This record gives sequence, structure tokens and C-alpha cells, in this order.
Amino acid sequence: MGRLTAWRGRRGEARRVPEPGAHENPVPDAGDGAGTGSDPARSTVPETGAAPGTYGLPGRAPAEEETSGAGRPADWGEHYGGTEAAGLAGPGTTTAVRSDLPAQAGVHAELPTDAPWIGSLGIPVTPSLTPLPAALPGLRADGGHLAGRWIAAASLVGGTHLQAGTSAQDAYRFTVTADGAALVLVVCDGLGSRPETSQIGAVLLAEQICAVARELATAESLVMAGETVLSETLVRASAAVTRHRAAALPQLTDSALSSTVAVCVVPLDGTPGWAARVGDCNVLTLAVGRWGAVFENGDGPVNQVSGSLPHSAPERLVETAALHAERPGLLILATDGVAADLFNSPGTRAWLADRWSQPCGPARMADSLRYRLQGSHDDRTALVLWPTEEGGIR
Amino acid sequence: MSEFSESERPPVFPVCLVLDVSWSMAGPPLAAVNAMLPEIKQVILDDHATGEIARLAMVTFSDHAERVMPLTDLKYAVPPVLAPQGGTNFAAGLRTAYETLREGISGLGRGSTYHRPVVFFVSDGEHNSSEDWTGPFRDLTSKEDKYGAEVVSFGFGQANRSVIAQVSTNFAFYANDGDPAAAVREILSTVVRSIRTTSGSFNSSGGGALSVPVGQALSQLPLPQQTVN
Repeated sequence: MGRLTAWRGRRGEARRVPEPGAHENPVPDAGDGAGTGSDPARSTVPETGAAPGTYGLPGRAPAEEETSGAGRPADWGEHYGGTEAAGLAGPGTTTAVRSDLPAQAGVHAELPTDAPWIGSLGIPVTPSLTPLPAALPGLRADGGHLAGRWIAAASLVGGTHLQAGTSAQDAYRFTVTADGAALVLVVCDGLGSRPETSQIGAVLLAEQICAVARELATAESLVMAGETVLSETLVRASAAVTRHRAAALPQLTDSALSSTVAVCVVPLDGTPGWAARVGDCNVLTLAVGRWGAVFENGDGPVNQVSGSLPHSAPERLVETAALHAERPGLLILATDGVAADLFNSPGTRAWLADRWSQPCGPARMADSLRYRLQGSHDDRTALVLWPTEEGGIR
Repeated sequence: MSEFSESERPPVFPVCLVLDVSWSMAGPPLAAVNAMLPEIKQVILDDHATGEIARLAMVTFSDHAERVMPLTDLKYAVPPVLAPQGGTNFAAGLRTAYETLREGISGLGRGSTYHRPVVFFVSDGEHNSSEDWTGPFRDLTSKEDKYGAEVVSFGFGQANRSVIAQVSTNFAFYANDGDPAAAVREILSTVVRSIRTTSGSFNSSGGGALSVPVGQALSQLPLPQQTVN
């Protein structure tokens, strides 16, 4: 099997056939390993701010089938709904898959996307579905108004789950507080060490956080102590998950339902809100082209669990922060599958900034997460809140 | 300094293979190692989730240790050809493994994403240097050190099972096959399986638990703390 040092142009652009070994549009350090020095064969994306159509670099030749098939340019596949797994013969060649071919192993039709390929990519596997009755759908998406604000969210199952035939483990929820004063936004990520049950925990926790916050987060309580309200919300939600588990799922332990979480409460009067998290989900902002992170990305190995719920002492795990109001912009809640990509990949940041430059419908929101990025095979979940014309969420 | 990287920094899974190349490894065992190294490279690269993140370093040890391959993207790695030499000094191998991982990971750049390193330690003999190997082992495996590694150890031939168990953090194995070349092949196949399954587990929140799928040709050794009482 060959590997893809991949690039895709945006739809509508001519895709060029590079000479073997050629690399156009040289880019910064690809960061693909210590001690290896620069890699002339390696291609990746330009830095943030690249002109449209320059996400990534050419590395694999498009085949003539690219413009054949069902009367439109055939699309190169993605690991989510990928289309190219079976046909790649080796470096410098590709067999684009026609969308009118019958489904068989490694060959299936999928919608085209402009999402970039970033880094040195392996060839994606043929997706396998899980027979698990409690599995989550591999694709969920929403986009629309809630209490006068535009929210879009999407969750895509990760490539590793598709390879192993296991369930997606992320969940998202949103609601409005009972007094109508604030939005409540939640993303949860079930721990991978519990592949058959943690998605249940993620969904339960997201639901319970919304249920608790609806009652606990009032205009008055938020003004008095917004961060405390959020912390208490997570503590009560953790206890609620434990109670539910004991009553309805007595065969499981709390750890079987472990998940990480990020939650925001955002007042609808335009004042800044508050964020809280347990574990490695994060809350990010994007305003005037600048990305920000509400919580630190952390240092050291990434596969060390910093916290999850339910927990016997959740108050010890909760991090809280007040959101700032310097500039109006997007508020983004992300599981680590997206947050890590945003921290580590300027190409991903550029792509998502472009895609989220205006409020998304559900299909566009889901499509925004179809980028391929070296080493990124986790579930991807993002929940985005757009500002109002007057500024709104900041 | 911004937490957002200005260059593409894909996550890295640092792996260090620490191989005994003392004279007892001469002949079929080392020939088996040399034959399998290119296969290891290809098998890892063929798995997209693994090949995209795994970075492999190799350290050999006899009387002294040598970094025969720094932490490297396997796409660009040329597997070394190993030759036998000298005695068996675990301390040198463990110390060089730590230095190799520390330099390799720190060389990724500030803010780079990496998973807890894993060292696969393979020996067919007993430590016969006057140097104490437990200090370098503690340094290598310190959980307070951000470069601290998990160590999976494998013994065969004349290796002392008890000592092999001590040179590990959670997993230690002994090859049942009396044929040293077959033992080497089984051990290295297990190393590859472990790299693949562990890499796969990274792509989920809180994942990344080291796993070592073994066949019947390897016996798992009880860890020292399990044998105290």
C-alpha cells in the first residue's frame, strides 16, 4: 500500500498533476518527527491566512476519472464516507472512484467536499459499522436559531472507530434556561477505554447538564456567581448520572460511563458568559481572525486522563472560567478530537475559520469536519454559537 | 506564547525499541531481528492510524549502548543492520533509551502533541555489568517526568525471568519457544501488534491505554509487586 502525501484543491479548481517528488508552495516545518530534519517529500498546508484554494499541496495525481462518473467531478474520498480506499496502487497514481459504481468493499459513493487533506496521510480503511444496540449514529448535525441566536453543531465518528467497527462516543446538547435568560451549550466525549458504554455516559451527562442548568442557571444566580453556578451544575449532573446508572443500568459501574465535558452558559442579554470543563474538551473563541482558548491546552503526554465524570468528588476536577468581552466572535465548544486539531494545525484553523465565517446549516456544519489531518482519527464534535449583529456572544 | 501552533504539528506516538546485541545474540537471533526490521516498518506504515503517528527509535546495548536510530518517521527510516558485540549492560540501554526519547520528543518543538512513550526492551541474557540498572530504569519510567515512558520487556534464551519482569512497568513476557530465532520473531511481531493497538486507542478521549496483544508463544510474567506476598 502506498501513502498519501495529500492535497486537494477546492472544488472548481483545476487539480494539477505534480511531477514525482515535486512540491509546490513550500510550507513551514511539517513537524513530522524529531531528528528527521526537513522532509523534501513532505507536503502540508500553508499557514493561516492562505488564499482560498490553497489548503494543502499537491502530492497525488488526480486520475482522468476525476471528471467522469456521474456527470460531475468525482471526489476523492474521506475517511468518513471515503471513496478511494480500494483503488490506490502506489505513489503517483490514483484511481478515483466513480459515484455511479455499486457499493462493494472499499467502493462507495459519497458527496464531494472541499475539506482539505493536511499532512502525510495513510490510506483510509473501508468503514465498518458497529452492531452495538446502544451505539450512537456516526453523523449528527444541527443548525438553526435557539432563543434568537444561531447555533450549529456536528459530530462525526472518528476513523479509528470506523476501522474497528465501534461506536462514536461524543455527544452534544443545547438548551435555554428555564427563565429564558441564557443558553446552555454542552459537548461530552466518552472515554475510549470503555468502548461499549462510554457513549451512553456521554449522552447521559450532556442531558443531565442541560437539565440541571435549566433550573440552576437563572439570570439572578448567574449575575451573582456565574462560575459557581457552572461548577455546581457539573457536580449535580455527575450525581444525577450516578443515580440514573444505579437505577437503570445496575450492571454498569460509574467508570463504564466516564466522559469528559465542556459546558458554557451564555446570557442572552449579550453579557459575557462562563465556561467549565472536566477533562480535555475545550472552549475556543474566534474573533477578527484570531483564535483563543478558554482553557489551557496542557503540556506533556496527551493520553493521560485529567478527569472525567461521573466522579465521587467532581468538584475537584472542574475547571471554570469567565468568558471575555473584548471582541464579538464565535464561541466554539469542542471535544478533544477537534480542539487538538485546532491547536496543532494552522491548516485546520484556516479551513474552519472559512467554513464558520457565516452561520452554518447542518449539512455545511457536518461537512466542515470532513477534513483529513495526519494523526487525527478521533471523533470530532464542535458546537458553534455565532454572535448577533449587535455583537452578542463575545 | 500562543498555544496555537504556527506550523502543522501532527500528534506523535514515540516508541523506542531497545535490543540486546551482546554476543549471545549472534547468529540466528540477530539475523531474525535484521530480517524483521524492514517488515516492521512496512506493517506500521500500512496501518493508516498507526503510520501517521508512530515514530520509532532504536537503541542497542551490549557493554555499552548505541542509538542506532533516533526518533524517526518510519517513512524516512532506513532500518539498521545490527551486529553482535560485547556483554550485557541493561543500565546503558535504559539510559540511552531515555536520552533518545527526551531528545526526540523535545525536538518536536514546544507545544507539540505526543503520547506517553513506550519502550520495548528485548534481551536474551542477564545484566552482567557492575553498573546498577535500577537508577536508569527509574529515570526512564518516572511519571513525574513528561518524557517518562512505559516499558514492556521481553526475555528469551538465558534471560532471567525475574529480572525481565523488573525491567517493565506493566507488561513483561518470556518467549516459550526454545528456538531463539523463532522467539525473536514472536517478540517483534508482538511489538508491532502492540504499537498498532495502542495507536488505535489514542484516538478517543482518555484513550491511549497501552495494550500488548500476545499469542500463546509468549508467557506473561508476574510483576514484582505481584509476587511480594
